[in-house]
Amino acid sequence: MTDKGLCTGMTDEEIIRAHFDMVYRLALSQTKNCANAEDVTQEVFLRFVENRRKLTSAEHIKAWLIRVTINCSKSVFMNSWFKKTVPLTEELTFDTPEKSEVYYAVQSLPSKYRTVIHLFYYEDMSVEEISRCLSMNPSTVKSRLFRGREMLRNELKGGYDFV
Amino acid sequence: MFRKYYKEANDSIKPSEDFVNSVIRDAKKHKPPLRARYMQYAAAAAAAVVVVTGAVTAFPLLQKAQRDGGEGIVIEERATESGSTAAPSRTAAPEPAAVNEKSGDAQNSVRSSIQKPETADAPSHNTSESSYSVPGNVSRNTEETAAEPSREYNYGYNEDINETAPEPAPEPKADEQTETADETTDAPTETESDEGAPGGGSSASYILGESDEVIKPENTAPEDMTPYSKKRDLSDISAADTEAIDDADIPCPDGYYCIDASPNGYTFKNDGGAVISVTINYGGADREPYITEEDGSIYAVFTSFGLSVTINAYGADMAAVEEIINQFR
Repeated sequence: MTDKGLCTGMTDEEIIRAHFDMVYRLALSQTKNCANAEDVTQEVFLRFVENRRKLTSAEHIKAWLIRVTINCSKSVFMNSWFKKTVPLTEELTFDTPEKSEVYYAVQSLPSKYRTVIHLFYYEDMSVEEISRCLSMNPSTVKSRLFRGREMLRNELKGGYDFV
Repeated sequence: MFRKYYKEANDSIKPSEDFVNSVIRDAKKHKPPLRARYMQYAAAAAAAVVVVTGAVTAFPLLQKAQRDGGEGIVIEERATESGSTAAPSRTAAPEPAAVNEKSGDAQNSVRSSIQKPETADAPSHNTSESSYSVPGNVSRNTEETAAEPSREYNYGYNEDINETAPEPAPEPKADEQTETADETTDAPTETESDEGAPGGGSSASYILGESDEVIKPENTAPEDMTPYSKKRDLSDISAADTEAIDDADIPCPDGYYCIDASPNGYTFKNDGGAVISVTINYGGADREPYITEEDGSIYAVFTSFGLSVTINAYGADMAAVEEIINQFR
């Protein structure tokens, strides 16, 4: 863990701490379960330590972590244990009803729309960055963003602007 | 507005510090990649592969060596006083250790008799065969005996033997062999020099222990006689040696001709250079043929009608060996 990143100048621990919240929240957004999100986060950073030599820049590290987090989250649903069990319902509490309403509206979206909405509105990533990170066409990202917003408008029924 | 509320909602979600530390701790002591973990066993795996490969490679050779050493062909040549009756002895093929010990003694007796001819004056009433082995000590003895005149060659128990060219003995019948064997075993052999019988009442046994060698007695005039311990390769068999012997009783396979016949065995050869050595001994109960083929050599042993037959074929085909087996059975 004392190894410096090749181009970042940060140790592995520093990189993990810097990206920990991002990974955990993205995992929670994908899995909708804190326990699964923790498992995914741990798996992601173990893979990061194993593959840190291949990551050359800070942007590369972030994109790699997002990609691996999404893949690991998908693998949770592919697990036979997940198919045979029903996760406990977890209710996250927020200090304001607007936050809760918005958060659970996004959680109700299908996974492919939820991912681009989360990366676009929370990680502030552009369509190009999302398309590169998810290895998909920018137009696909745009269409998913559009359809996700339409679903959110129907779900929220409020005057939220999706700028 | 949506962006703001969504960001605030996610910002309010924070993993516990314990969880963060546990992940960092696990990452510190994470296992190395699978490939790196297996590298530490590479040396042991390579050594194991070498050992197994060596064992697999050496096993056939060890098996062959064990087989050759343990069941060497025992050819006993015995002639009675008349020279016309020959019978194989009941001597079974001894164990390798016993063979060496026994043959060592016999070799010593042969050597001593050669070097000390005066000891042969002592009368010998023994009918037992003096046996000596070829493998192992052959080359050493060959040098010694080759230096000696061939006429002085004897078996240490009867110095007055007048060796003449032995005639190929007919194949003994099983019943007759039993009787003659008993007779020759019980009756002491007292031979005179004028007998002229093949071997003059001598009885000699020798062992062909090495698969790539054929040792056979020279059926030539006494002047040309060489010691039985002379080691010879198959390739050394000359045209004179391979002169066919005509005998209707000899189980000569098709395409082969007999180059050597004795009461206890035959040696066949074909034009292609294949050699089949057949050894006959008295055996016990009937035993089905056990045939092994390896590296161009065929080894077969079986017992039929009280005869224990051992076949060693070099360069021969299986059909010829089976033909010989069928003639005995």
